[in-house]
Amino acid sequence: MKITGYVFDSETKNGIIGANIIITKDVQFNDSFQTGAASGLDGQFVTSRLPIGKYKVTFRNMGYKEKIEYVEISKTSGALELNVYLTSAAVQIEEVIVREIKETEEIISAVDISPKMLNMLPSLSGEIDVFKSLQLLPGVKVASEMSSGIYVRGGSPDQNLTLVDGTMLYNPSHLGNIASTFNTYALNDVKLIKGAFPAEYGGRLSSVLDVKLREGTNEREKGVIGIGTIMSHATLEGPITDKLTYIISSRIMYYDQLQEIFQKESVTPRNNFFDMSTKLNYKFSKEQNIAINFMYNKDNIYSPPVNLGFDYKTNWSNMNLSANWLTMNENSYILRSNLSFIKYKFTSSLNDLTNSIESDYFSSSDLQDISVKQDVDLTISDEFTIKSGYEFIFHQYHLVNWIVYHSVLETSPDHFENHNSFELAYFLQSQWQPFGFLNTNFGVRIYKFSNLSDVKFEPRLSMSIAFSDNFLLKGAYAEAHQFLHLILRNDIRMPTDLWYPSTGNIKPSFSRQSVAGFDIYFDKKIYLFSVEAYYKDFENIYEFRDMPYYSVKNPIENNFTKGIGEAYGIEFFLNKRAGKISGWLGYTISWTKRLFNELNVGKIFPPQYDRLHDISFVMTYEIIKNLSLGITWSYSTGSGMTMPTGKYYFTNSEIDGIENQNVNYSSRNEYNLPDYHKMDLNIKYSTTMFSLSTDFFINIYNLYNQSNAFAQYIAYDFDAKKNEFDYTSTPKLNQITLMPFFPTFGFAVKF
Amino acid sequence: MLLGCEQIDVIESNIPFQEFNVVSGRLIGDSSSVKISFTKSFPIELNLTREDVALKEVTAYIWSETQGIFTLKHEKDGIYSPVNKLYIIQGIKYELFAEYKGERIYSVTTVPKEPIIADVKLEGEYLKCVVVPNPKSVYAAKYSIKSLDSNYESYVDSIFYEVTSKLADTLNTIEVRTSNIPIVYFENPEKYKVELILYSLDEPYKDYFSTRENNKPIENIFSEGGGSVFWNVSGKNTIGLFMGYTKTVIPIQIN
Repeated sequence: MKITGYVFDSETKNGIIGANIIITKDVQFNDSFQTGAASGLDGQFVTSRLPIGKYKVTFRNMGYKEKIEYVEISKTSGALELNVYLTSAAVQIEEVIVREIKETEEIISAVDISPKMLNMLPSLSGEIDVFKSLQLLPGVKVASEMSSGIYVRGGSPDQNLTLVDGTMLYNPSHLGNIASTFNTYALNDVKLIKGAFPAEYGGRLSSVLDVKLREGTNEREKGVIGIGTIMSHATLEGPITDKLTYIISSRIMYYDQLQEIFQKESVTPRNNFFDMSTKLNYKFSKEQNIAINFMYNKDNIYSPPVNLGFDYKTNWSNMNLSANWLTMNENSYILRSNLSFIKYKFTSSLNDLTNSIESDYFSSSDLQDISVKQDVDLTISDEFTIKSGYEFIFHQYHLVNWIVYHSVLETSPDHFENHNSFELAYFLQSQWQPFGFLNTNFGVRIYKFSNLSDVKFEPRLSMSIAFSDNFLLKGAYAEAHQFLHLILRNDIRMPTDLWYPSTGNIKPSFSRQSVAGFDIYFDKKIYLFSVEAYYKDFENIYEFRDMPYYSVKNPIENNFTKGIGEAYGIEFFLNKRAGKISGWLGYTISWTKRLFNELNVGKIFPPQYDRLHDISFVMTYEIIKNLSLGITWSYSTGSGMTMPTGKYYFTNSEIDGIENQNVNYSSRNEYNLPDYHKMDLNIKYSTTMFSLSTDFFINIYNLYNQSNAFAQYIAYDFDAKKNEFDYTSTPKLNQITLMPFFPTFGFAVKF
Repeated sequence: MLLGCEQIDVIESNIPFQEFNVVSGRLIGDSSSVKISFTKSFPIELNLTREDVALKEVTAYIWSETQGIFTLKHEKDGIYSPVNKLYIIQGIKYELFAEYKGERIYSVTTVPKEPIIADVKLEGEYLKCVVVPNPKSVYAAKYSIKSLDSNYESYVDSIFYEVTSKLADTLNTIEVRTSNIPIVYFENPEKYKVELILYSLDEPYKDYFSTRENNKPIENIFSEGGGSVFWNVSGKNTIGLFMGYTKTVIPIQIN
């Protein structure tokens, strides 16, 4: 017989993912370990078969009080159902920092981050953000203070697979990196796998960000309204019927409106965004559950009224509609089915208002995907589980990339380059523990892509050896292909995202990743010291070639050039996991390299986001009950940049043209901006006002007012009368510093 | 609070500067006009004349296996010419040897032979020339407008639309085109004479051409800086182009 059931949060009534269920036999005389399980999606769990007898079932999860149930399995009892509610452990709340993956699901290079941990960390606007927190982990970087996306172990943002309740997200961050597109109040769990991920994940080269959204509470109508200086949010949730719940969460950022009032003369870009997510959850029975998700995000960034001779705008929107159907039965299988529709649109334009059109460009990606996937978990024994599944995605892309801007380009289908393609993937993986000290995960993923004749095969292997309770040795190897390429213009500072599928000429990107390391726990497992080394190489990565030629008649792919790359480094991570003060110290030393025959005269160069040294320090402190303090400090080597290094006389253009003054540049990204470092602080106070639970927060971004360089550039004087730059003036080196000191405050009311 | 969220500072430190020797030489087939330029690069903040940056003490010569050695002497503003007359012959390889402050500079180029012209015609708004390419040569074209009436000015196109090379061994001919020509020149054949100037260039020119704009002047703050250019002159801290080419002028008959 088996024990099945759910583990819930007693406050939110949401299922807890990853709780440990430990079953010990014959509780009167012997507490010997019998078997265990971990709760999955929605908090559900299934144990393996148990012989007749009495059992003690212990439910544990960090940040919650342990709960124990006693059960008896007899010949007539049948499968037992246990639904338990865990309550938050107030005195242990600081334990919820970064928790390692549960013992029953050993994934190398993975970290789980809970919303409780996020709530204690500083943020730019008071709006807690997943990406800002992820950036504090070793091996995770950003290209610049305001750039979108995360760069994991030398992989670019498009190489990171972002899943929201199993549905792929093309762009998980708002423009300017103000925030991710996930509202923290709607989050249930965030898992980042930094590399060598299991076979169940695919379609990307570097890493996986697996985000689970909450389902609405079935207790009563609840809500949170938060008002901040540049951003506000609201979340409502509750039951519709006994079996049907809802949650709707939305945010709006209105920084541009405040700029209009307080910074009218500022020449920095104007920025706003809106996002919302809703989830309807219907529980047919204890074995059947269906959830309908809808996410919508829209971002705008545009030129200020005081422009420098240019009119620019970038906007993107993302719409995800998905249905997730979960089925489990007493025979130890869990079946997940997902049907998704994704619509993503990105446009970016630069319009030179002077007479010249040399600087103009227009880029648009209009992408639509329909995907179906199913996977099944089979528990064969305590030591052996199998997971298998398939995924089918149909892509429809409409793309424009043009050197002049005209509004007709945004609407006329005549100018679009259209691509239809599909991906079909199958995976099989096993979790096997042949001996108590040895844990393995072996898998394979097989691909077929519509434009390619051959089938791609990807082995995925990982293994950990526990030499003792406190020392774990681990290693992993994975190969991965990526059929969709995000190709950026390197000659334009504005965002120019262009997603392009593999075609007959554009090969799928390919990576091999190897990871090795160890974990040491000490002082009663309060401290974890972890070291991981990684190496990965890339093939068939694409960028725009030098001097691309844009024309309606010229396929965009003719402007791409193919290269290879490699990334390697060592990550050190010291994590204090319990106590009144908790947090971590991380250090990464890493190298990332690219080699393209047609770029940088065929010499190796580092990408802009390469950082040799990266240090992060995170500390949370519960000063008194309801008053907490969060501090983060980060340091990294300055980002790479290509700098002018002098002028010279030369025939300016063709072989017998006239002589002119040219500018000589360094090798690509040869120079580094000054090293980056800053400290952020968050103070949060929770109280009750007018019978409503209320949180007040103060955030200070860049506490000691460090002038970190966002960019450096050579600037000439601007002649306002002629509306153009005076190139006869003496050029100066300018530095843009963003948010040297940025305090925000706000409050959130729960009802 | 919001006023402090951004700022643009002028950095007090100087713009990085790295000094390079710059070599520029063109060898034109069937010509004896040989001028090689040796200059040095200078900081962006400065406005220096060619005389200011001229390298006047370079020891240099051109070597050809069939024609021998031709010593170069400084004339003015970093321009060097052969002491003895050097007539550039099509199909011949020329090597440039130089030394400046103990550092050696070297380059080599072959002056292409004129190709066989298979066809020249007006294709829409541009001229197209079909040529039988020679090995290790690349091709580009300009148009030239010569006024038959003194009331109108003559004009030579300043840009190559593209540089074309033989892509596959199976192709016997390649097509070389000019940039678009204003139609007015074709509508008035009594006033203008149109010519196509075909350039046969040494093979490395194609790499230079495809990267040359990486050294364009800084235009606006939205443009990311340039990058590296393919040069065919080697030497410590030295950049430059030493290029052989041959011009073929083809008159165009407009019906």
